[in-house]
Order: sequence, then structure tokens, then C-alpha cells
Amino acid sequence: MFDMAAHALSRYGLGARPGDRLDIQIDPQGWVTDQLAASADDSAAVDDRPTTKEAITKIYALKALEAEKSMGKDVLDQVREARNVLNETFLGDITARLEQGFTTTTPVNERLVRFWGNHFSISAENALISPAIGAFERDVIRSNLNGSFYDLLLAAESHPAMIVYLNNEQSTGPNSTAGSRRNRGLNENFAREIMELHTVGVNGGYDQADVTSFAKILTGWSVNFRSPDIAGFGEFEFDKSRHEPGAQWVMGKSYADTGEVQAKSVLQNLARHPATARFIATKLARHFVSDTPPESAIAKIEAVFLDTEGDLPSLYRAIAELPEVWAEAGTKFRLPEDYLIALGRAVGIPDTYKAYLHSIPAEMGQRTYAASRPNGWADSANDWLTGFGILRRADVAAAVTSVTSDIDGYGLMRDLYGDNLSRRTQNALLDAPHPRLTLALALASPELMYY
Amino acid sequence: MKLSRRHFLYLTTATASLTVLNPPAARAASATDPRFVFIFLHGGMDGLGAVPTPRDENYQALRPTLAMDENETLALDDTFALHPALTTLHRLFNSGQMTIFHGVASPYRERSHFDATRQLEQGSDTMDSVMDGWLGRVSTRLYPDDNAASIALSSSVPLSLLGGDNVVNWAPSKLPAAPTAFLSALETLYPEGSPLSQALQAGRAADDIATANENDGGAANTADTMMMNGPAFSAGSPSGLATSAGQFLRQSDGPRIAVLDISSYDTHQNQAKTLNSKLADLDDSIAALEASLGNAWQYTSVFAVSEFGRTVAENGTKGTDHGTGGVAFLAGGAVSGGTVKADWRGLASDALYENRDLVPAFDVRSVLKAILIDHMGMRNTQVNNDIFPDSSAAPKMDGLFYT
Repeated sequence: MFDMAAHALSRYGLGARPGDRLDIQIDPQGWVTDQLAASADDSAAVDDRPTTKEAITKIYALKALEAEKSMGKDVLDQVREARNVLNETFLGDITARLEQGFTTTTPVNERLVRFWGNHFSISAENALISPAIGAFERDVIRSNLNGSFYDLLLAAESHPAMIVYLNNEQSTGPNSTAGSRRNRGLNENFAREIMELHTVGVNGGYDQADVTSFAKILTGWSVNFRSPDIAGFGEFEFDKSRHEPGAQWVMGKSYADTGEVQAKSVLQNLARHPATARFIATKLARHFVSDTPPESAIAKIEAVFLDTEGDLPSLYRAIAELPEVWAEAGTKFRLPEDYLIALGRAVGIPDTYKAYLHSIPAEMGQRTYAASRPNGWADSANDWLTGFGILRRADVAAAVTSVTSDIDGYGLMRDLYGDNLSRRTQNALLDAPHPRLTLALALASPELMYY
Repeated sequence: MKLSRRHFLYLTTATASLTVLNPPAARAASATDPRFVFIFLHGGMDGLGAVPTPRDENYQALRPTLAMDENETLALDDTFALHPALTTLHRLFNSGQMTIFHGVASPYRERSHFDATRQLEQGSDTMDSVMDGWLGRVSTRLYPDDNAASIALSSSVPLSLLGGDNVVNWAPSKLPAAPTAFLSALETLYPEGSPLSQALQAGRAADDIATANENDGGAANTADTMMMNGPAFSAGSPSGLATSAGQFLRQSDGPRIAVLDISSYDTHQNQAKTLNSKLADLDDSIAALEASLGNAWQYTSVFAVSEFGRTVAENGTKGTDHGTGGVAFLAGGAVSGGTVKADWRGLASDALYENRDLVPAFDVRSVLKAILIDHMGMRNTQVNNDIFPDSSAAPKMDGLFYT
């Protein structure tokens, strides 16, 4: 008989731990919805990581050293040390994110954190902001998981790491006080990516003139980077001297020049635009249903988005009730990091592995917090189900097998999947000539690869 | 001809549909087969940064901090020059092995990275109806009897190669390799013909060719095993991956098409330093291909292109924003080069596309058609019908190869 509990743990969670399936057997759907209250969130592994301000203080220290005129050996040593500090913070944040995945008791929330973190992707390809990405994920994404889409959007676009990542901190209105100085002007990247990637989507009905106008409105959205002694250091700052004066038209609406608030008004309208509802609903359906989600699933999420003006808990409840998600197991191929997390939840990763845990998703092709493009990681098997991808997963399955104490691979899979364990996998596990091979096959089985 | 692993795999495991629809016309793999390397420069390379026009009266004015003086650049002709980081390309240009296209674009006319990339990689201007990539379609049709004809030097398969029946991907790895007996047991576990099974076989085929590279004096997997050495990313530098690509392609029965991706050409801010290092990556990669291909370089063409160009004027943060017409390079021993192809009208505002971008003077598909027909030997009708449908507005460009 199809095991709804096993299915829920894979589909809505991050993969089952031993015992989970029996624990939630009575009400799998209730297990999903009970986690959707902010008070339930178990984020123990990331609670004590550095704050945004602490991260930016470290960045400031490096920039101050790099600005020194004479680069004697002592300064070079300090620069190296300051870079190490940034890198250690960054790698520590990755390790904490993985540990959070292995250990959290609210994996449904965790899936949503990861979904939105990828939607508002910030990449360490810009190494300078790398130590602030973990803080962004905790303080922006996790903290706004259960509000409205507008709250989440505003928090994301006004976070220092996002403003620097999308190049807005120096963007200057041509007619602003600062713009009258030579070589200062607009940078349209932030405006374009907010519309294309974060809200209405590329077919959302804007053109180049809208991008330019929105870029003008966003001028002045910057970061206080002056000195750690100054109040507000490391926080969002509206720099009036860069702000383009005057009213602007964006997507058929006029926005009076209200300073900092002018951009908030645009974000507010973008957040409840029908194209945004469509775009977000499609991404959520792709994440939870299939790479090519049925229109029925998209339409249900979209309708709730429009009815509630983007109330996120309402969206989540709609997803938890989608028959399309409950219908079928194993239609979505896990991304490399999610695969590692599913392994960690199934068998536990020994502490001896902790020192290089952060590099394992990268070795499988997915550098955590470092997507190479601002649209984040692709959420479809086409991008991941490759020769390289499968071989590296096999490498990891074999390595994990070699360091875990004796685990009965067959018994483990019965525990995790119940009757959802395929006959084919079951036979292969029972036929394997020795227990290590049984466990390695279990960890590389289709059951672990898909959710 | 020795029976290589990939032909063996074909004989034993090719899917029924492949065998029935494309009865193998046994390609006589030979050292003189044409090779093609596609380099995608992601992010929108600044064409005027790579190939500036230092004598143009508007060039310095439009780029007050980014413009280079003529004496900083590498001269090409009366109008164009090369960025100083492109020394290998300059040498190839001077020896007639490189052609530059100035003002090249796909049919896409908006300024989204992601749609522009998709359109170029799918090779269609009706994106929504096409799910595979133009090079994937080429690989399937050009090498029906081969199960590893195309290789992506990447941890993922780029969209340009998606849908090909005989595409593999390979990248160096620091993970200790899974035991062979385990991989063989996995081949039994995964249902025959399933995506997992196909991927596993493709991965093993690529690894076997990589082993052949090493036996052939190459050092394809230069990454040290991670476990003992502590953490480090082994994604591979662009030129390191280019060296591996050359090692794969130079095998007499190796793959014939390789795809390389180089990221981060999206220079919105403080462009000069980034562009310098990204152009050096491109130049080093082409030098690495030339060196590692050895004798096979003379049968090779390399095409490097970006999803779009950038604004002619610099923006307010010492960078450039998304534009339209860009620059592409066609290099290789098989190329009849030494010229800059352009329809040059200067940089006055009314000579620009929408008063801001380089005019899209050439359709990129015209160059790709020349590569497929005049270099790789595909038939005209096949290219026009199957590879680039709806491309009658982009006829093949003549005279790019010695034919």
C-alpha cells in the first residue's frame, strides 16, 4: 500500500530519519501543516552564526587594509589574515546550513527556506559579500518565511548583501547632487533583476524604459559602509545625495518622488502584480510537483496568491493540500546538496567529516551559496542528472558507507520507505554479496536520488 | 580500429529506438576528423572592451574611464584593435587562424541574460516550443553510431547539448572514486533505459576516455583526492578545462565536439579589472586548446560567443549594462581568418541600436551554419531543417573555412 508518511517525508521534507515514518504515520498531512507556524521553526544549527553587521565589519576590515598605500609585508600578512576570516565565516555558514539540514525537526520549513534562498539567490562569486550570505538567509529569508510576499521582498531587496550583489550601492541619479559630479550615474542591474528574477518575471510586461525608470527610483538605496564606529554601520542606508529627483513611470503607473519610499511603492505594486502571482506559483509548483508542473497545480497556488495578496502561509497550506503533490512518489530529482542532506538524515554523517563537509556539494557540482548566475540553481533534472552528477553521488555514497558503523542497508530502507521501497531496489539490496555493498547501493538508489 | 569502450557500449546497450531509427553507418573515426569547440562566455561580454575602436571620435567620449588608448591595444586594422589580454588571439589573427565578428547577435532583442542564453543555446527564435539544444541536435545527427560524440567540460550538461543521444560530461573531481564493483552493481540496480542508467553509462564512458587521455600522456584529472588533503574546490580553471577538452578531442576515436563555459562577463561595475581577467581566461583557454590538441588543431575550429553585448557608453559605476550586438571569435587551424567582419557605422548615437547598443549586424546562426556545413560537413538541408528551423533570414556565411 502506498505509504503517505514516507512520501510526505521526502516530498515536503528533506528525507526521512530512521523512525520518522512510523512517528508521523497517523497524520502525514498534519505533520506538514503543523510546521508552518513560525513558532515551530527549529533552526538551532544556524542560530549562533554571525550577524550581517558582524559580517560587514569583517568585510570593512579587509577593505581598509587593501586601501593602505604602502603594502609592506606586515600589511600583506594582515590582508591574508583578513581574507581568511571572511572565508572561514563563509565556510562555517555552509557547514551550519548543512548541519541544519541534517538535524532540523522542522524539515518542511527548511525546504521553504531553501526555496526562497534560491529565489533570492546571492552568490559568493562576489567573494567580498560571501560572509554575509548566511546571515542574509537567516535574517531575511528565515525571519520572513511566514509573512507576506511583500515583507519578504522588501527585506531581501533592502539587505546590504543584495544591494552590493546586484550593484546598486553606487548607482547614482544623473540629476542628483552626486550625479552632477563626473562619471557618476545609473546602474540598471538591480532594477532589471528585481523585475525579471524576483517578481513579475521576464514576460511580466515591462520594457527597457521601465527598467531605466525603476533604476532611477532605486538610486540612493545603498549601504552604510563608512566606519564601524558610526551608528547604522553595516545596515541599509538611503543616500539622498544619489537619489534621482522627480516622478517616474514604471509599468503604467506614476510614482511621485517620495525619496526612499518611492522604491517601496514600486516593490509593493510588483509584489501583488498578477504576473508575480503567476511567476511564484509556477516556481513553487515546479519545486513541489514536477519539472513540468500541471496547469492545475499552478492555477491553485496562483489563485491563493491573488486572493490573499501573497500571504505566504496561505500559499504553503495550498501546497500542502495539492493532490498533485500527494499523488506520486519520486518525480523530482534531488539537487546535489539536497541529496547529501537526505543521506545525512538517513545515516548520519560522522563528526570526522565535518572539516570538509562544506566542499561535498561543490564536488557534486553545486557550490553552496555560490550559484554562478543570479537566477540561482536550476530546479529541474535536466541540469543535474548527468554522467558527472551520478558518478559523484556514487563516490559520496561509497565514502559515507566507508565511514558509517555497520548499518543494515535493507533494514534501513524498510524503515525509511516502508511499502514505497521499489521491488527492484529491494531485490538488489537482498542480492548484494556483502553488507557494505548493500548499504552503498541503498544510498545511491533511486529512492534517495528522487523525492 | 580498436574497439573503444564507447563503441562497445553502443553495441551492447544502445536503446532500441536509436538502433532502429539510425542504423549505424559506422563512422570511420580518424585522426583527421573535424573538431569543434563551442565556448560560451556567460554574462554578456563587452564587445567594445574586447575589440575596441580606439580611433573612433566617440569612443573616448562615451567611455571616459574605460576607453583604452590606441598604444595600449593590439592593432588589427584601421578601425579595430584587440584588448591587450588577448595575445594568443592576436597571434592567431596575424597568422590567418582567427576571424572576428563585430556586431553579432542571436535574433533575441531584449536584454535578459537568461532568455538570451536560452535562445542562443536552443538555436531557435521560438523558444517555448523547443526543449533541446542546437549542438545536441547536431551531435545526434552527425554521429548516430557513436555514444560519446560530444563532451561538456562541466559538472552539468549545458543547454546547447541537451537532448543529444551521445552527449557526456566530465570535470575533474577530488572525491575518491567509487569502486568499480559498486558502479557495476548500480548499473544493475538502475532500470535499463532509465535516466539514471543512461547518465551512469555516459559518466563511465567519459571516465574511460579520460583514462585513455592519461595513458596518452595527458593529465586529464589533475585534481588530488580530497580526503587526505582537506577541503578545496576542484571546479577547474577555464584553461585547465580547455586542456582537458583538447585531450579528449585529440584522441583518434574520442569525442568530436566539446563545450566550455566561462562565467562572469557581466561587468556592471568597475569593469576594467574584471574584464581584463576574464579576457585572459578566454585567451589562455584558446592557447590551452591549441597546445593540447597538437596535430588535431589543424582540423579544429573554436567559436567563442556571448549571449549579448553591452552598452556602448559606460554606465554610472565604471561598468556597462546589458546591450545587443556583441563580439565573437572564430579560431582554429581549419579557419581561413585574419579579418574583422563588421558593418561598421561608427559610434555616433544615431548609428547605435536604440541609441545605446552596438548594431546587431550579423545573425550568429550564419556563422554557426558555416561551421556545421563548411567545417563539420553537414548537409545544407539538414542544418536548415533540423538544426536551425525558422532561420531563412540567416543564410550561411561564406568564406570562413578552407574548403
